Amino acid sequence: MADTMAMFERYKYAVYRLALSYTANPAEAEDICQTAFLRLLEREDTVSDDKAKSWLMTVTANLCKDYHKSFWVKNTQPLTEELTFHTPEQSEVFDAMMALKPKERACVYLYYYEGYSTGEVGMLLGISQTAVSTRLNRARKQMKRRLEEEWQ
Amino acid sequence: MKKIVQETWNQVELTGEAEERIRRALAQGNPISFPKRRIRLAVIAAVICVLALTTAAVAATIARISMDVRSVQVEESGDTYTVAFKPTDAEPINLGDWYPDALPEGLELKYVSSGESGMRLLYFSGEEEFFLFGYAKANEERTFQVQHVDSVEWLDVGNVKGCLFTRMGGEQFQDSAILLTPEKAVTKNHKGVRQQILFWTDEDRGIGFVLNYVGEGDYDLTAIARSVAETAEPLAYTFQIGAEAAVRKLGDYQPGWLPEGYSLSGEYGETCNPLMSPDWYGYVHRVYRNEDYYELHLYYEYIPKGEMSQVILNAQSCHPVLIGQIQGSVLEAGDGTALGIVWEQTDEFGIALTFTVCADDWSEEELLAFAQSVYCAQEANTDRFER
Repeated sequence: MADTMAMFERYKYAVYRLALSYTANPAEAEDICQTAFLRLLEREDTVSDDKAKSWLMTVTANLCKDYHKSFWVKNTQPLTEELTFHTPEQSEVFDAMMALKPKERACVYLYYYEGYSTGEVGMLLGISQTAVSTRLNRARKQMKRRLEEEWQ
Repeated sequence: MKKIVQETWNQVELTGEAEERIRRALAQGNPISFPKRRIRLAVIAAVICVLALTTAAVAATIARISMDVRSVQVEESGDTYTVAFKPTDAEPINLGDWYPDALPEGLELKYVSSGESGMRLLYFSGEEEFFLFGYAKANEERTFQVQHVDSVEWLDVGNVKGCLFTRMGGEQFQDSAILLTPEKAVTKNHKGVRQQILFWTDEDRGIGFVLNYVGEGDYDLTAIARSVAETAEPLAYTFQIGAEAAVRKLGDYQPGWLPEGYSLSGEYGETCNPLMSPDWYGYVHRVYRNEDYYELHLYYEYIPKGEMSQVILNAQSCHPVLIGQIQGSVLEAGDGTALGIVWEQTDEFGIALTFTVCADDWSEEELLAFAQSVYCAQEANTDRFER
C-alpha cells in the first residue's frame, strides 16, 4: 500500500515536471500535481509502493491530456510565466522545449530527464514505442534547429 | 542533449508554497485552489544551485562521491530514511564490474542487470534467504528510501563509514532503481523476516554500494562489503547470457557498418518464451547508441509458424525495398517518415529468420545502408532444432 504523503515527498518533482512539460504552465502544473496525488490518496489501498511512481506518471499524463482537451485551454492563451534559469543556455533550452508540441515535450522529459526507455515512455503515455521514437525525432530536430539559430 | 535537458529540468521545482498547499490538501483529502499567479521558482532554484555547486566544489577536494543519510519521517512502525549518493565532481565515472567475494556458501547468482542505467544489480538466492548487491556511479544523484527502520548503525567498511539499516517487514526494498529488479528478487519467504541494508562508497572511484540481505542468517555485512572488488573479467548480464545462447542457435549477424560515434550499448535475447510457444523461441536484440542517446536497433529472430514477431512497429504503410537480393519492406509512419526496415532471409539450413532494423531520426537511405551491411559473422549450431 502506498503512503501518499511519503510518495508526495518522493515523487512531487517528477510529477510536477511531467505536468509542466505537458502544460507549459506552472500554475496549471501545480493543479495537476495536486490532483494526481489526491487520486493516489483515494487509491492508496490498491496501489503498492513499488508501482506508485509509474501509476502517478500515468495518471498525470492522463490528467494533462484532459487538460488539453478542455474548453478553457483551447480558447485561451496560457499565462506568461517567468521562469529564469542559471544560464542563458538553459533558459533557451527550456524555451525550445516549451515550443514543442505538448506530446513531444512529455516524451523529451520522460526520456531524457526521467531516463525511461522509449518502451517505458510508451507505456506511461499510452502510445506505441514507435510513436515515442517518432516524437523524440521530431522534437530533437526542432530543438536543434531552434537552438542552432539562437546559438549562431 | 541529455545533459543539458537534465540540467535545465533540475532547476524546475514546485515552490515551497505550492508544496505546502498540496500537503494540506492531502491531509484534508480535498483540493485547495491555487491562485493563477506568476511563480518565482527560478530565484529559489538559483540559490539552491549556488549552494549545491559550492558544496560540491568543497567536497571535490576530498572524494568523488558523497553519501547523505537523512531521517525523513518518524512513524510508530519505524522511521523512514533516505540515502543519497551524490557526485562531487563532474568527471565521468566508469561503473566497472564489482563482485562481493565473501558471500556465504550455497548462494546462486540468479540475475545480473546490464548496468545501462548507471547502476548494476546482482541477485544471489539461497534457501530462505537472498542477497541483493548493487552499485551505482555517482555521475547522477541517486536516492534510496528505506522504510520501517528499526535501527541504524555506522560501521567501518575499510576506510569509510558504512550505514547499516535493520528493519523487519515484508516489503521489498524501495528505490527507483531497485524497482527494476526482476520479480525473481521477491521471494515468498522474506515476509516478516529481518532485512539488513548496508550502504557505503568507494570515494576514490566515485561508486556507491548497497548490500541488501533478507533472511535469518547472522552474517557480518561489513566483512562482505570489504570483500567487494573489481572483477578481472567483465560480468555478463543475464539478458546478455540469453543473447549469447540465442546467437548460438540463430547465428551471429552483425552490422558491417555503424555510423560514426555509435557503439554497442546493450545486447538482449532469450532462448525460449513459454508464454508464446511451447517450442523454443530465440531472438537477438542489439542496441547501438551514440553519446547523444540516439539509438539504432538490430533485431533478428526465428519465428515459429503461426507466431508473431515481438517487434511491433506502429507503421501506417509500407513499400518494398531490395536489401541486396532480398525483398524487404520499409515501414512508414503516417507522415511518411521511415520507421524501420524488415526482411526475411533463409539460412543454409532452410530456417527463415526475420530481421528488423530501426533507428532514431534516420532517413530511409541511411536505414537501407545499415540493413545492407548486416552479414552473418558466424553460422548457427547445426543441432539447434529438434526436427
